[in-house]
Amino acid sequence: MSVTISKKMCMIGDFGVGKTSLIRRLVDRQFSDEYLSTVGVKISRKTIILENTKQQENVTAQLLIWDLEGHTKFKGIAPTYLQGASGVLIVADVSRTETVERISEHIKLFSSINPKGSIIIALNKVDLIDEEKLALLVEISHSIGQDKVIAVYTTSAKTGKDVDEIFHKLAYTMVEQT
Amino acid sequence: MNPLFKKLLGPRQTEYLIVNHNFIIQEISAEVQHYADAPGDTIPGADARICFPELIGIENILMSIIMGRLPSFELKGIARFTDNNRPLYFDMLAIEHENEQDMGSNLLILIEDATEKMVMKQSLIQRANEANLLLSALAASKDYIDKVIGSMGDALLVTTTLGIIKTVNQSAQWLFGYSEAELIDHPLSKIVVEETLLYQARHRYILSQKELLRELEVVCTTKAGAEIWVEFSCSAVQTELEGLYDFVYIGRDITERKQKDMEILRSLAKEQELRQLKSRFFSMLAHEFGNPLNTVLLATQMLKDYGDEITNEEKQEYLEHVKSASKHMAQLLDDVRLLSSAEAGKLQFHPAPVDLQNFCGELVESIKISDGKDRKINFLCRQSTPPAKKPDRDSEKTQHDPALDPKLLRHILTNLLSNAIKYSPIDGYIDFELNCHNQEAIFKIKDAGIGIPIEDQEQLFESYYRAQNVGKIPGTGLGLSIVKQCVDLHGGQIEFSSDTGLGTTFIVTIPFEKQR
Repeated sequence: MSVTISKKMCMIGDFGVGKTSLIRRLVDRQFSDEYLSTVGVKISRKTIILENTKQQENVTAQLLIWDLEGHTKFKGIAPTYLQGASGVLIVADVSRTETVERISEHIKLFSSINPKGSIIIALNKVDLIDEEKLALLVEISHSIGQDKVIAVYTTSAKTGKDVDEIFHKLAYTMVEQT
Repeated sequence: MNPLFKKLLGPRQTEYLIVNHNFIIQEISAEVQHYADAPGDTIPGADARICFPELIGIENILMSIIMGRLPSFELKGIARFTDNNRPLYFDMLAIEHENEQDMGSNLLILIEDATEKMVMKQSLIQRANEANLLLSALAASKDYIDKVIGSMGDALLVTTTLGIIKTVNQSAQWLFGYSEAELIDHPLSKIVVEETLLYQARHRYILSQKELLRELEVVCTTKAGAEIWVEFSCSAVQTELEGLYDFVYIGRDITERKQKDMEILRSLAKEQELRQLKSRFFSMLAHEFGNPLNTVLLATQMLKDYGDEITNEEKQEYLEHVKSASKHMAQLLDDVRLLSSAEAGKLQFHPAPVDLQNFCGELVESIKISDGKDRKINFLCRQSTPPAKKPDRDSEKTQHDPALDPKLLRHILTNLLSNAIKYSPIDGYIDFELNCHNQEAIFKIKDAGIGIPIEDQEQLFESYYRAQNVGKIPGTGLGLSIVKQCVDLHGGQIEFSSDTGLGTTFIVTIPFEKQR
């Protein structure tokens, strides 16, 4: 017997890191190089089948993915949007190290509103840098996240690398915590 | 809903839906489906969370409002579109709604169109973010280039066409000893001695677009005043203005290499000099020893073969030839020994009072005897300072005589006078003049001989060197070398002037007291 569990999750990070592109790759299986900034919030749905969960053999997770307006130096992320979220995907752009440095700020904000929420880090745009630099950034991200973060993924909305995996992982963790 | 409330909401274009504590829709406004994610499901009796998924996850907050624990909850700028060309944004406000039939509270969700405001905001944020992304990329690129330039081991300078320095890296500051502020806006000539070379190269490039000079070696000066050799390679960079160039110079300190090159050149020159010396020595040996040896061999052969047939006078004559040739060779050997001991620094200076007038007079007489009375040497002595004074007693006399080394002085004057005679015509006159003033003895020997060609004058004092115009006049090329060594030992000076075919004048100046 299969049950459907709806879960709210948010995408946060600096502007231009690829939050909308990751959702587009997941939902529409598409990618565009054109940059279109998100304002306010846009909610997308994605249904993911989870096998062998704690509760049931099979669980259908309906993800309500909140794509939030990116953080800029003029405007931070509105905390109202984060309320009631079971998990968050904090996205950074590996070609802009300042967006990686800001991960800790985003973790702090999300944890203050949802102390039990699941956090995963997506180091996005990995197609733009070399392996050596990426390894260092992963190490830095782990050290920033410490025990608050479930996992650090290196993703590329352009190539699709680890996009499905990261959402699946977050969905699984959110459902398990129910 | 209260009709009055409805009237109030109408002109504000605010839509609404009322839901109960199970989030089941109780009532909706006419156009609320326009904002719903699932318009068909936006009907009374349906779960509001299906048509408005924004409500999922915040059920606890909404319940708090229904129960009066929280006044309201607002979400602004919710996007509801798939086609970017037809955007739709709305703000959502949830407040408590008292049921008219007094059956507990419901939740009133007000929806207000925010499309116009959000589209404008999107446009502004889009531009701001694009500018920031560009700025960030530029800053990262500049930072990277600065780091590359900063870590370069070679000096880097960027100048305008006129050679005004615009950029320098750390290596350039270290190499030239100037700070960045001391170089920026200053001309390149501040550090490059022959800046005209670079200036011309820049202009040549601008005029003809020909390739710039690569590996140009120039002398530069550091702030401390030291001269260093720098190898520059130059390239032109088009500025933002068409036809206007900046010039990038990459410089490498090659002072050490240059010094080594010069040392090698000096060693090669020295080696060349030694080879020439050796060659001149063997040439002298062949000529100067060959003739007397032949004389000895010939004379002894004659005595051996015809000893019984020739007269005693003839025998005596042959023996005289042998004696004379042997003497000549002995003299040659003495000269070689003298010069080599002088060059090895073994020749000593032993000063003793010398009555110069007598010394020179006697020397002239002895030369006349040995070199032939036909030669006329006019000796003239002009003594204006001591020892010009006529002393009363011998002891006083010697006190006023200059302290020179008579042995070395004899070498000097004998050689110069012998040369003057040797290279003059048989009936030529030699003027020998002695001047003493200002505690110096000046010897002037003037002949009207063959003279010294100008191309030989520079090497005249080198060992075994002989001028090209000596012809068959015998000589070793040692005389003037010996003279020079002896003059140097006195701390004196020797100079000469000569015209080919007209004669030569040597002037030797020797101080009475050698400067230590």
